[in-house]
Amino acid sequence: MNDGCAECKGGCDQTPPRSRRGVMFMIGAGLMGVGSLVAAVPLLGVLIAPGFRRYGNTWIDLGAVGNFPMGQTRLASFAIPGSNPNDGQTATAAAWVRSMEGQKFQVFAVNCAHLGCPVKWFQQSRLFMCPCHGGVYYEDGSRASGPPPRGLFEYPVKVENGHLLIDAGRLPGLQESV
Amino acid sequence: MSRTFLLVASLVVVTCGACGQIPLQQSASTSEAPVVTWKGLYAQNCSGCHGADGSIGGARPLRDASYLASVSRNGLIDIVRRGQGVLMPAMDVSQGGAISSEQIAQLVDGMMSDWGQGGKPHVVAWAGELGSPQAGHAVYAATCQSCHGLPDGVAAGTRGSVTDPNYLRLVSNQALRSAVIFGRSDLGGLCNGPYPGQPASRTLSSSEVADVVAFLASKRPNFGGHTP
Amino acid sequence: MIRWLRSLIGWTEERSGAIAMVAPIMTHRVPRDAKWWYVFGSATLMFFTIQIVSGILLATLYAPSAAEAYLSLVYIDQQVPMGWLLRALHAWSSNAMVLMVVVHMSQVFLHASFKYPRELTWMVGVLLLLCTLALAFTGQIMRWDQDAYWGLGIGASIVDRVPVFGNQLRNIMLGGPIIGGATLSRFFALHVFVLPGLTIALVGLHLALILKGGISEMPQVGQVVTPETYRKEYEARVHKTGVPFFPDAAQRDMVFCGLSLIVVMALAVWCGPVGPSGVPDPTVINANPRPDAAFLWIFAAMALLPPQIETFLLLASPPLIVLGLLAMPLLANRGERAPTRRPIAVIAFTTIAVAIAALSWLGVTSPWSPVMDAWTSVPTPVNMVKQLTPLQMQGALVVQYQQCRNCHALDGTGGMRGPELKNVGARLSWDQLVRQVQQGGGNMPAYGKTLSSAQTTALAAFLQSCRTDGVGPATIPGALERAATPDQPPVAVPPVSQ
Repeated sequence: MNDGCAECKGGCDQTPPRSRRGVMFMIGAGLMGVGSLVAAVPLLGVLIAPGFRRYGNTWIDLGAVGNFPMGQTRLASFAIPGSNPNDGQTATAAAWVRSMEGQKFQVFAVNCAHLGCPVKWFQQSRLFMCPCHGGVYYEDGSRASGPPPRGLFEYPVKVENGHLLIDAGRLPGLQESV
Repeated sequence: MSRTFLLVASLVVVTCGACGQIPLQQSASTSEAPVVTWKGLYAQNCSGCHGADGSIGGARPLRDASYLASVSRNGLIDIVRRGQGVLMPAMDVSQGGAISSEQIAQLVDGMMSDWGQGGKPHVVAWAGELGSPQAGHAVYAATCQSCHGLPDGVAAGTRGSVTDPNYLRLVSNQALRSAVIFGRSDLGGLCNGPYPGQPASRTLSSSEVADVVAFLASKRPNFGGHTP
Repeated sequence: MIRWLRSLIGWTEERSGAIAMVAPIMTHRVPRDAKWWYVFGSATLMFFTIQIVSGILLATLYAPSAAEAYLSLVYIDQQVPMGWLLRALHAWSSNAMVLMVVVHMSQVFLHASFKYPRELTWMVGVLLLLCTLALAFTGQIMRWDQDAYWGLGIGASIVDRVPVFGNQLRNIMLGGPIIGGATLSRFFALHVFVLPGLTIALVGLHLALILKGGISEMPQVGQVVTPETYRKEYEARVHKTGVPFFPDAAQRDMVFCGLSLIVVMALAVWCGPVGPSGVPDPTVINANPRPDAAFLWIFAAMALLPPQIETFLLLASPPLIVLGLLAMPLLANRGERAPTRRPIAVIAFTTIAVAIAALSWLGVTSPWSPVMDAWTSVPTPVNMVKQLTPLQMQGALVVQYQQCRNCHALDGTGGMRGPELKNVGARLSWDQLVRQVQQGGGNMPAYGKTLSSAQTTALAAFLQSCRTDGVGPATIPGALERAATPDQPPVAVPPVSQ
């Protein structure tokens, strides 16, 4: 492969014809392109895979119904199923459980609907308040005041064998509420 | 010369700082350092109503040796844990409050030993049954009326009415009883004597206290049997 | 010895040409009047170098795993000899770097140094600003404490608002459906590989562009930038009156860098490392997340944006701001450089600077946030308590018990979300007080379902008594006054006397 021109100055007839160099260049560029595309699949794939996966929720047991006294709203914490071992404490989450007459429950995500900060329940004024930007919600989760665009995110609930279950697993947000 | 000086000075500063492990500011900078002393618990959870140092506030002052000696430790722990009346919230985590049973015990023990120093229980028991409203009316007229006005609420008296139905709906019989026995000296109020127009030695007996509380309770409107 | 050294240098130089390459750079001529205004860029570079070195050392001690990161920070602070100082240096030097970038950029803007032929230098500088802020934000995440966890929650909530793809983008950002181990690893890779690498490359480009375009002169009225002739004029002037960068200009850089490094070192020693705050446990909801100083103004803006256009502003303003900064030198690359001849630029700069300073201050005080424990920890002022009748006293307790205090101050203490209540009795009549409490409104929740009639009455009685001495209760002229009946307390408060 001799295309160094320095030594061939002054009518060196060993210089390969232009067309051959062009073909070679095209083949090289093509191979590089194909190779890069193949290599990009795992590289890009790992990066953006989470955007294309469907993260399903599962029914999570919050404990016996008796743990939630009627007329009160209590904090329940739970482990998020399917989390990976190095998640540590962040593989847990909390929810506000509102227990109403006749074994009816409302379970709210602790995340404020404004920007996700943890809201706190106040039993006396029957309000949830957010420490970040001052969002306030009533006991049924509806927005009372402040910047939130909607009420609290509410998990689907069911009671089975005396246990309270919620359909959860994702960090709640405006697009997919829970 | 000056450059050498600066160099030496900065080295000295750095090594001095480094020897003494982590600076004090660091432990304070971690937000929400755990509240460890009973006074810290008090400031965090009680001072809003009972006053910054427990001697004057909207609710009953707790820096009252006689009161602390009359209320048993367990009685006090129970009030803090589960709340009382209308406006004393339950503080225990299991009741939806913010502090644990251990912290409540620590709080009450600390309060009793620091603020209950040398206190003797009042001659009248802290808790008790209601007496007779009719007899209580007479006690009220003799001892309370000069400050708190006529019991029908038209003339409120100089210290405001205590027979106001809305007031009575917000205070429990026990709170009334405590007010009559221990008074609110923090407000300049007497309640437990001496009473204007009465001999200085005049104090209320156990039965008089029971009667006057029963009288006040009888003035409380009763909506469907609900009593605070 | 010296001869031996000289021959060694000669030997190396003959083969590498290093001195021949560097010498013209070091001694290139810079304008004589380039004085103390020009030290901030060098200081930024110095702090970036410190960040690299201290960052590498931190990487030898830090465990980038969500399960262990927090513990490893505590370990560095408490067990590693001088580990706390290393963390403190990294944190304070980071603050200093952000500050220096901003000061440097302000100077360049005010002196219009971005005009021809230095437009590209400014654009690369804008990218460097973004890198610096991104490093600061991702660095805050490395702390993996409560603030980091909920800060990520805020970031995720913003990304989630992107139309159509929001949720997908959010999951890409978090590396999964929750904030967890994958999230920390992603931000770790950004913080220690991607962003520093990018920054180093951009710094190189920035410096090359500076050498190509030359250090700008101090702006002078009448010395107009005309792209057609500027280069020739500049080179002639610098050739005639310029001084070599090293040592003439560099000595000022050295003095300033040395001093600021000592100041940062002192801050690190005295103030210690920043954080970590509480453990990153999502079930501990007593968190009060606050961002680091550089982002407080954004935090404040997010509380104050009008809700109707909040999503649009959150998503549209960052790219618009960046585009505006990038495009600015293209739109104004000629003309006067002196601030006195550029009133619009100076006014714009002052407005932005004042706005960011004011928002940052609001971010520190965050008056819109309820004080979550004010109801139990902020006492009713004693001077107010002393004046009250029994019913009003119960009203004062209702103010505490119903968490009114979390948002309302009494005589200066308590939350600042709602109006101060010290004089509310002089502003609102009895009926207005009751209506406001029951129906809410004006960003206040309605308490009608929560309060009993007794609580409402006691509360109104207390609030009506909240007046300065000698001021009567508010009334509505011509309206019927409430009669003093046993059920309804008298409007005229009984005089208090011993």
